[in-house]
Amino acid sequence: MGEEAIVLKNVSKSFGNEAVLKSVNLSCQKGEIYGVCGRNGSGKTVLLKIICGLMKPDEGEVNVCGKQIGKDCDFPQSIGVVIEHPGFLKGKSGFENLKYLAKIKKKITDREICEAMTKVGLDGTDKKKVGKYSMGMRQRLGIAQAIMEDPEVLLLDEPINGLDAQCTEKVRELLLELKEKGKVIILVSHNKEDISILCDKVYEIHDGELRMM
Amino acid sequence: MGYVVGIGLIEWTQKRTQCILYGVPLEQESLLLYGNWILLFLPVFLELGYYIKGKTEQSVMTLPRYGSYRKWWKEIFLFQMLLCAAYTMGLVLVFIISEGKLSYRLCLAGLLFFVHVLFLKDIFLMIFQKTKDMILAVLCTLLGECVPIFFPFVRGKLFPWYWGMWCYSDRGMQNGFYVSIVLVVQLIVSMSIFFYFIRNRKS
Repeated sequence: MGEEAIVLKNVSKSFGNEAVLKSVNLSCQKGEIYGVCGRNGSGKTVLLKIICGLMKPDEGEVNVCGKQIGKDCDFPQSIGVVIEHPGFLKGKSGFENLKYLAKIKKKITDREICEAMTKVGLDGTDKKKVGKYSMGMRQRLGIAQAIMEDPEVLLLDEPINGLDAQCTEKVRELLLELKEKGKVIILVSHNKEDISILCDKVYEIHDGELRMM
Repeated sequence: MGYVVGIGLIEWTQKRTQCILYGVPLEQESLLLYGNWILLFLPVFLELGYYIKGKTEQSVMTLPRYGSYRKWWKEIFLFQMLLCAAYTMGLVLVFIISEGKLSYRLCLAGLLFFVHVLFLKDIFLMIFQKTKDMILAVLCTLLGECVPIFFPFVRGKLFPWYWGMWCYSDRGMQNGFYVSIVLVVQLIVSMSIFFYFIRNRKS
């Protein structure tokens, strides 16, 4: 049994009178991919935002890599996130966007940025502005920014959305490779094929409750 | 006739130019001059709005990298302060060129303007954070500067929207506001808002 990387204890979140998450418990081990599915508006993205510290739960405790979010730190130290549409700078190239983000942590070199882009099928030397990227290219750039700093935890919200068959295959291979390296990945997807191919455990959010499928 | 019109035009332009940076004096109050005064803030607020919008859109990717809200807000506040300082220095430079010298009055007007812009942009940030509406936040902040013209009874030293105008200070008129007190009060408000942002996780 692997080391626990993410632990959620009785996490609840409401917006007004609507309870989106009701006393959710979850434990994710390193080297595994966890699938989360559910209907639109069921609370999948809220769950990811709570895990990565972008949203504060009303009740409960979130621990990532041994640190309690909101108490020991605001955000997990080693996390890669793709949630909703990544807000890249449209007037800059993909590489420039990733370089801007990489400058915050100053952990990786230009070469490593290019490598991350290559892994998702993008060319790091391409000068094309992100504003002219297709939806699939932006999606892949989003994945590249999430993996480029080699985080321990990856939270991916519909990462394969809008990708063609070839790119989908490439991203699937990448996720399996990261799993082999001992990363923990939470994958939110509506695509049952992705879930069945990639995930070790699958959960569904229904009426605010997280159930294993 | 042409000469008279020419002189009138020069005087009118001079008055308007004086209202930039030094403020709109009581005896010249008009919507047009207040419009001029507000226009002076517009470039700063447009840039701030654009910057905040970009930062907010990217927050999902940037916030976990900063590791804390504190660092994220610190960078935003630092950028805004530098932007306000650069803009004020630019304005003062234009006035040095037009007046031909760097006077004490100009320095003081520049300082008042700089601290007032900082104060306003923090109010703007606060409104934006509460309403999440950029245009509403800009309008609320800048229209406050026009309150005296719509509500002439709202006047006096305690009215913060005057605090950027040199002409309403104790150096520009009798019974004007005390420059030092106004500067300190505005800086305290700005610092309080800054600490509110860096300490409040929800923000």
